Amino acid sequence: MKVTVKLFANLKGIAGSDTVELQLDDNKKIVDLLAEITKILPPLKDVLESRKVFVSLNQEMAQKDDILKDGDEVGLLPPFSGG
Amino acid sequence: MTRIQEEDFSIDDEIKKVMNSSKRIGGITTFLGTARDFSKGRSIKMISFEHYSSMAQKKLAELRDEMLQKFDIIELSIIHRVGDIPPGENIVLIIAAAEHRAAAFEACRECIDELKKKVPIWKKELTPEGDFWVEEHP
Repeated sequence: MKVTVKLFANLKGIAGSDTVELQLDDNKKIVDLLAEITKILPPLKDVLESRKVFVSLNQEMAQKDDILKDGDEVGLLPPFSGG
Repeated sequence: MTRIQEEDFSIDDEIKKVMNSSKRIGGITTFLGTARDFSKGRSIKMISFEHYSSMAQKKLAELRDEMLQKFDIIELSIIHRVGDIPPGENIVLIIAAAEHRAAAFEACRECIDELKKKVPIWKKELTPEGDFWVEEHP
């Protein structure tokens, strides 16, 4: 299945990209996606492990054991600073 | 009434829109966030806001609904700018309208506090020493 990962703010700079398309096996979870993306983009490892990054699934805040499906959009979101 | 936009807004026009929504309104409070030219000991040349467009629109609308349910208010308007904003310009406007002032004050305060926690918008400060993403929301 194909999942789109969108990166924002400082994460874009660290990853060198704002969007990553991942091919994953069926029934993979958010936690599996995070492991996969750190393999592809090792510079993200430290910041993702720092727990300062929130994860969204289809524009809603996600949990690490949420199961992914084909066409999902995952966001890697640093702490918000609007307003 | 929630909007995310690059262009500036007119506070008077936005208040008129809220006032036109009901003749029952007896009090309006506003919060206006503006761009400062100094932060953490550094001069700010420009503030740049990035957002996760689809999620930010959704979360802003949900926030408005939540405030309308929680407080005894008649209307709530939230407008947030994105893109590059020079010091002295408007960033965010919240307008809360109620029959009486207490609910309008409370809703306005909680709305801006919750916006900072729930809406995926990020601020970058452009300074002579470089560009810095802001992570905290005081």
